Parts: sequence; C-alpha cells; structure tokens
Amino acid sequence: MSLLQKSGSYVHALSQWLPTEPGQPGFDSRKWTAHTAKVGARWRSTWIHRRSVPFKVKELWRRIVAAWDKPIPEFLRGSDGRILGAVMLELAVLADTASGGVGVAGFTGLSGEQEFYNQADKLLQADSNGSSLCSEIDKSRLRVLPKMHTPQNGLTIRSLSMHLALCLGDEITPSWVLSGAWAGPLSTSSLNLLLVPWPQQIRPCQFAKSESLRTDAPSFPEQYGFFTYRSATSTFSLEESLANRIEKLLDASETLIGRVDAVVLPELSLTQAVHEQLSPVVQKRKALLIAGVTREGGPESYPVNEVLCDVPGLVQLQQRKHHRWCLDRSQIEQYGIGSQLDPERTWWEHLDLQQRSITFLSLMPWLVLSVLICEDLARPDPVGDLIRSVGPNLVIALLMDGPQIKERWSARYATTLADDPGSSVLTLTSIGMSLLSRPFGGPSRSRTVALWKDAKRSTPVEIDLPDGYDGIVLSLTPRWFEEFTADGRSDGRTAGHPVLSGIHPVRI
Amino acid sequence: MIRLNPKDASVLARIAQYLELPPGQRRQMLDETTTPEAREIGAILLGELDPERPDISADVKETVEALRSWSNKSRQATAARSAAFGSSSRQSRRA
Repeated sequence: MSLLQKSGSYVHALSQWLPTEPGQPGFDSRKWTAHTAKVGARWRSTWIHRRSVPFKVKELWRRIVAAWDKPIPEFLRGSDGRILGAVMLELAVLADTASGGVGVAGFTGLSGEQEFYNQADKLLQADSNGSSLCSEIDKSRLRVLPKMHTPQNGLTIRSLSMHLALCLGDEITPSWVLSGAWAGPLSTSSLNLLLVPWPQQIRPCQFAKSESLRTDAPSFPEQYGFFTYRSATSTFSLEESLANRIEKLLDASETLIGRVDAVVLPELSLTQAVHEQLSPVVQKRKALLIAGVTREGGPESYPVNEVLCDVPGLVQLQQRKHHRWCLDRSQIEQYGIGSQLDPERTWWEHLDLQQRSITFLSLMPWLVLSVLICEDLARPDPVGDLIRSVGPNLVIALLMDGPQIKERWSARYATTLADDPGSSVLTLTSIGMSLLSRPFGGPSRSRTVALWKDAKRSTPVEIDLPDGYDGIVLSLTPRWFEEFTADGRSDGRTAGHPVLSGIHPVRI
Repeated sequence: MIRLNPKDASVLARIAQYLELPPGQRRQMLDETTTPEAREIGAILLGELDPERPDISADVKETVEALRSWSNKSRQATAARSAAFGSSSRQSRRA
C-alpha cells in the first residue's frame, strides 16, 4: 500500500490494472469481491492455525520481492509495471479484507477467529510511541491503524481500503484506546451528550499579553506577540460551584431524556482545580467527561491548553492542543479585545507545543471518537491526515470561538471531514465567547454555541442555547450505510454514522 | 470503579471477551497487566478468584461487573455487524 501511494500509481487501479493475469478474463467486480473475501478469511484461519499466510499471499509477496531492487518509477511505470501494480493492489486488498473488524469495540470475529482479533487488540495497545497493527515495522517508519470510514468521493490511497488505515510519518502519536468497562449506551443504540457551553461570561480583560519565558525566541519580530487567556475562577464565584451546577443539570437532563452518556465542555472552559471537582460527579453517573482544561503558566512554565477525557474504568486521557491560536486585527476587533492586545500586531497563543498526540477512543461498534481542540480542526497538518486515514465515526471539536453558524470557518472544516472521510462532526464553543463576538459588519448570532455536520446531511445544523438555559442535550443514533472501496468492494452496510436524533435545551 | 491504565484495560477487556481462547492463553494475558488490581480483576474474570472473598474490594467487584457487562452487551451489539462482515462478499457496487 505504501509503495502504491509513494508512486502515485494507485490511480490506475481498475482503469489499467486488472487484478488478473494477462490472458485471463477481464475484471469482474463480483468475482473480485468473492475472491478477496475468501482469501481474507483463509488468511485469518492460516494465521490462527499455522502462524502462516495462504499460498496465494506468499506468491504475491514473492513477485514483489523479485522486483525489489528496481527504483520506484521503474517498479511501477516500467514495462512490467502494470502487472506489478496489480500484484500490489491485490496483496493490499487481501490484507484489508483479512482485517475486517479490527479495532472495533467488542468485535471478536466469526466463530473460531477470536485468536486473530485478540492479537490485533494486543498490537493496538499503545506504548510510548502510540499504536499500530504492524508487529515488524517500527512506528517511526509507518503505522497501520483500524479504519472506520472509506471516502466515497474522489480517488486517493484511502479509497482502496475499508478496514486498514495507512499512516505515514511519525509527526504525531496516535493511540487506539479500547474501553472495556463503559457499557451504558450499548443496550440502547443511542448516545446522549450533555453540552455545557461554559463559561457564561468572558471579559476582554481575561486576554493579556504574556510575559516572555527564557525559552521563548529572544529575537521574535516586533509585529508578533504572545497572549494568554486566563480562566476567571477567582473572579466569578459562580464557577466555584460549577460541579454542583452540572450535577443539577445532569439531574434535569435525566428527568428529560432518561440518561446522559457524556458531558462535553468547550476549550479552556475549566481550570484544573474545577475539573478535579467535576470529574467524580460525572464518573459517578458512569458517563464520559470531555472537557477543555487550562493550566496557568508560571515564570518558568508555559500555560497548558488541553482536553481531558474521563472514560469510566480508564485513567484520565490527556491531549494537548497541536497549534497555537493566532489573533489578528479582525479577530481582535470581533472579540473587542483591542484594549488588551494591540490590533496592529499579530498575537500568538503562548503555549509550549509538545509531542503531538491524538487518541482514538473505540467505545462501541459504531463509535470511534476523537477530540480536536479549536485550531487543530482547521489545520490539515499533521492531525488532519490521520483523521482522514482512520475516519473516526465522531469528531468533537472543542472551541474557543464565536457563534457556530454555517457561514464560519468551523462549519467549513466540519463539512470537509464529513465529506472525506465521512465522520460526523460536533463543534462546541462557550456562550461567553459567543457573546463576546460582535462582528463590525453584521448582526451577532451569539447564542449559536454548537454545530453538527454528518455525511448524510447536506447542510450543517446550528444548535442554539436559548436564553435562560444552561445546557443542551444532543441525542445521537447510529445509522448504517454501505460504503465501497475504489476496487468495488462493499462493506455490507457496516459503516456506522452517528446522526442527530434530538436537541433538547436544559436548565437548572 | 477502578480507573485502569489503557494497557490493563485492554488486557482485561480481552480476557473478558475472548472466551473461545484456551484458558491457558487467557491466563497468560494476565502476565501483561501492570498493577495488582488488574491482576485481581483478571483472576476473577478467569474464575480463579472468588469475588465474594472478604478481601475483594467493592471497586474491584464493580470493575469486574462492568467488564462482563461490556463484553456481553458488545457481543450482542456486534452480532449484526459480524453477520454483515461475513456476508459482504456477496455484495458489490460494480457487479
């Protein structure tokens, strides 16, 4: 698969390559699908019983190795390139078919196949350099992860596989985390998310120029500066009782819809201390807590902007923001923070960017979840490539942003991910930040705090927090749609799409 | 409930759900765990340790129940998916 991508020759799949020998009948999609499924199942069986691979796979591999000393252009574009390309395509497709269902929570294969899926789960256990299904290829070279969606538009290397995601490069560390103790929503086939667009108020004075640290570049150009956002724990007495307020909100939500499976708060919504109070409240209800958390920096340390995920039965999972927020004149005007930050300069969020990581939380057969923080949704590198390769069923973007209306950037990027790979995307900002946003050029739509986009809905759904309400419960229901690879294989309607099935404002 | 590290959580989920594997192989998985609590939970899942023993904490019992519940429910939830994987060879877009 890697060779197909490096050479770009996968574009010839189907049009010029026929996965048969010259002289044999032309490509027949039905026969091809049956052939790959049969050999894929045999591959699993052969591995289980003999720790080997089928003869067909050995033969394909032998033919590739025989051409190993050729440069890539000659390998695939030379006189015998067409046949070699077909060989590689077939081998990649067989590996993909053999791996159907790997990484899916609770999937143990057909009868007699548990040893194979146990081995896959074992390989996926993340170490300090993350997860990969490869046992003999170092993760710094490439990794293979499970895959939840195959893009149904265009033709990329990702169009050729259904179950395996090829991830090149080692710029970001992905971890595949299997939760084995969060069973709540499994019996109901739905997921209820309580969105708490906290804080309710943000003041311009919470944005401030940062003092430089010794580790900051000493010769930074004059037109650039660093800023810090300070959470207002000490100034708003309300926040001291946030855990109690959310407990009451959980009560109100459960009275309304019966069950809350996850509580979601926006970027930088909580201090670490408040998060420590809130986490046990949510854990007690056997619900997930996904929250943007800030830690103030000090004379020797940078502030931290991270998402903390509390999954019942798992230690807290942490993911730092990958990109600094850059505030320019238009944003300074939009949020009215010119008294704090000179609009003539460009201001970067004062963060120490560490080794980037992303967690793929495999929670249910239809739910692999990833969380992104604000800028990370907008920047295609490096996390975008990984998200597009794996195609998590649900991406939640925690934002510190203005109203989540269809015309703004977050809707554009959510739509991109919904188109390719087909993920459902939820964005959430705080009502405080949304109210702070007052564009000069038009009316404010400040109560639109969240936005939903899925692959099957033509336009995003704006989600408002009505005046006087404290939270919104979203109900998500899985729908199963058929996806196809570029070589014509069907997934048999196993691609899970969370779709929006209810929006309920709640108040204390 | 005990909050397990991802490695222990994965090992215990595997012990709970891969019931077809030989007992010796499931027992060997316990060697991969990293904490005494995980080993205790695993031993109960394997039937080697009586969960009603007085020295077994309520947290350990709750975690065992959560793992069993997850395993049972996810097995039911994936039944349809398993059938679909098995039958996907019959379908084709370009047939």
